[in-house]
Amino acid sequence: MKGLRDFAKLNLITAFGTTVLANIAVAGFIGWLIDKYTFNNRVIFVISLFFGTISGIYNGVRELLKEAEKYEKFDKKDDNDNSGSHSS
Amino acid sequence: MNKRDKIFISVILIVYFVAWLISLKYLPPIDEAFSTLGHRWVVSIGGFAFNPATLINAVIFFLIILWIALSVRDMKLVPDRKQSIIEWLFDTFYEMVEDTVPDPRFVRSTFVIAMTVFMFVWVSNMLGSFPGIVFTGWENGKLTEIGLFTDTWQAPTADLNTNLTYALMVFVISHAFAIKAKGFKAWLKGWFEPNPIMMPMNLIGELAKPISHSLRLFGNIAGGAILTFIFSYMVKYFLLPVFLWGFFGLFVGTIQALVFSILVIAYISAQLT
Repeated sequence: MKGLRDFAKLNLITAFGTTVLANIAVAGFIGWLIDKYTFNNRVIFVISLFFGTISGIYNGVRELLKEAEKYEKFDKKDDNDNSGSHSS
Repeated sequence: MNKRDKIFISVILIVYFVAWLISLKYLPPIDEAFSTLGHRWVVSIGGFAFNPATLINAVIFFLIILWIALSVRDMKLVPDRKQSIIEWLFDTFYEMVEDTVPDPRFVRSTFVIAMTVFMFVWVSNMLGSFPGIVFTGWENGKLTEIGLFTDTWQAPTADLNTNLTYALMVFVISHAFAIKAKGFKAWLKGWFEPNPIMMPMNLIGELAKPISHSLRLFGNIAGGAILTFIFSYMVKYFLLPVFLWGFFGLFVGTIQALVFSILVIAYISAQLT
């Protein structure tokens, strides 16, 4: 269980990168779509790319913090279990 | 290792080396070998285009799972080796879901979804490391060649359509669970937290989840398959492919299946928190 979790921790490295990229891509796509059917001058597209970047970093960091908190909780629980089994 | 085994392995290696020397003469030149790289066999029925190889491999996956399910149908009180491996796997996952999902009402259903996704993705990834039937497509999607044991199976997860289907399914399920757990009003309010200005960020962040979820698996599996193909050609299929299939198929395949299903649990639990 702990070994499996250690491997899953490696996922955090790519998780941040893909979250940022996916956010920019989704925001860019939405911006392009809105731009195409409204002013058609790329302004909304560029603004939404900015939104995407901010949203990517915000969501990426939020996800990282949440995962780190979760793993900390698990590690603490494992330590407690181990110390409990040693004492008994 | 006794003397008989040593002689057996030496004979196998000598035969392998001779086969390699012969194959060097008959391998196609580099342009010809890579001309089909990345092209798929595509069939269009009523404007709905799909890759039949993915469907065929999904059926193979179903048969493998059926075979495993039938072989452990009679559960014993004292488990044998096969039963204990499966029990350990299910137990580990259940524990993981129990630790992560905050609402106990959704633990069982989340476990069922995550476990199904894990089994499908894992067996699909494993298929990519075993030689089998290979369908070679061309630029216009036409099938040009069917090879038997000329390459590994094409993993269904190396096709973005499969991964996106699962990621979108998880996206819809996580929001349905959130509405059921918190109520529609509280779910709607969640989009405007911590501040109404953050609504566009939350919207983009949520929509980006299935994209990053599916692209991560697709990139790892499809990238691994292409790298294996290129490296294998460079050494003219001499010894290295075995190591590469082991690494990209078994190791990366298992890790990515685990990561994909852990993300399923994480996305569902994030909506329930």
